Amino acid sequence: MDRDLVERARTGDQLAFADLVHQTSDTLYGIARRILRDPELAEDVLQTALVTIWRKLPHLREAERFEGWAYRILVNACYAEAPRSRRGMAIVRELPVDRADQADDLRTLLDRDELERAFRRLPLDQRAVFVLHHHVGLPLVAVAELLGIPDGTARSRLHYATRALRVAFDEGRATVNPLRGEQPA
Amino acid sequence: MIDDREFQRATTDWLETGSDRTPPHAIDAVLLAVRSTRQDRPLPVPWSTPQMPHIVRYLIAAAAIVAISFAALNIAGLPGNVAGPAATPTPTPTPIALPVSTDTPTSTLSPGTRYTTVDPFPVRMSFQSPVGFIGQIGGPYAVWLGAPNTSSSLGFELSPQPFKDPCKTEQGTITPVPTTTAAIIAALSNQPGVVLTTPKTTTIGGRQATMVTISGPSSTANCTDQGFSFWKLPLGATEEVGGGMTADLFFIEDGATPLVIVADSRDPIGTPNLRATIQQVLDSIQFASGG
Repeated sequence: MDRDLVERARTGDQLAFADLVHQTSDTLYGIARRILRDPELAEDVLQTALVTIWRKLPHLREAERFEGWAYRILVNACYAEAPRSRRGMAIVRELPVDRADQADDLRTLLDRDELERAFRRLPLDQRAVFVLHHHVGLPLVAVAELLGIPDGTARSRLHYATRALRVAFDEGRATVNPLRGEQPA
Repeated sequence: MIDDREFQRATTDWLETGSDRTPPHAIDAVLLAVRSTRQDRPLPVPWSTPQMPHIVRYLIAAAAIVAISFAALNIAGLPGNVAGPAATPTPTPTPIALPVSTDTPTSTLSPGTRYTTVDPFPVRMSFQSPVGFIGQIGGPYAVWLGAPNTSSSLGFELSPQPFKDPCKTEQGTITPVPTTTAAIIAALSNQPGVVLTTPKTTTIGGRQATMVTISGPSSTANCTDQGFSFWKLPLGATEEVGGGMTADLFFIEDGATPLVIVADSRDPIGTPNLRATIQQVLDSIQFASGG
């Protein structure tokens, strides 16, 4: 992150902030989309978070901590906006059932659907830890610091999230493959 | 049992699916909003100072405030702005209109001049301007005064809506909204993390007022957006304490809901004697008859 850009934006430079937005928005949007599992809601959250970041920038003590600080505002915006999400939204995906040689693709899609359903059942705080750790690549200690929670809490949230996904994944694999009619091993 | 690597591969594949490109219209909307959104301005003190007494105003409804019609800005002493008697000082000069401002928070007031609040703020009151103070009518619910380079030091506010939890403002405000002095103070005293002094009776502008001092936790690092906001106003501006900040709240019964004066209760670093200056403003307040 360009420290000078952050410093300038912090003093009210809107052009610098615009550059900052262009540099960070894809990352922030990606995080919000993964936590919320809803692109439209993620877009709303991103806008809310970016305006909040603009307002709060003068309060940022150290420019080099901008990224983590921005992630935190984004995650809080996710928490605030998630209740508006459309519950029970169907996952619609076109399956390539007309080609037997695409069984692996089908398996991939089925895996994704199982994981998707399981992830949507998770509380937001578990989702946030999972995404920040596995997608952003932050160590758990950094995730804990960013979210303002103890290390142990971050670890346990990640554990529960991973376990839920693993159970869903295993159960999905244990079902009959509709393409080949194979039975579980 | 499925192989761990297979699970990890499937999870990574699922997690990284989809485009992360921000829709351009979303960026456009943000940049448009930023043009009319003021940044919160902390006092000009080092961020690392833990005992940092000040009040920060969040103007999260700037667009709504912009829509409010403005009254004219008149500054005493400027040619053409004030006619007649202004050139001949009198012991009780006629008040002139307080600047109404939105995105120009540094409308400097002329020292010694008596200003009065105007539309859209409904309570008619006047005060003597200290040296270097800025002032603005933020809308129908707030008038803010401030020392140079501060967000504001003194606020006149109507219809406050206390948050359920100042540390977690996303939980919303208390319902029903308390509308009396006693109910508002009771709501504040029940907020997690808030420390409130015992209410005292005092006088502001010849009217009886109830005064309490409010403070929050020494650290707000774990709060939403690192803020500790005890209430919001109907258009979205919020009042914040915590992190060493404290404020004096003066409740003056005025119509359906009390007028609340929010004042810095300590001298911020870099602005010595601000508390005394604020007290001078409080002492100079006069209410218009019937206002």
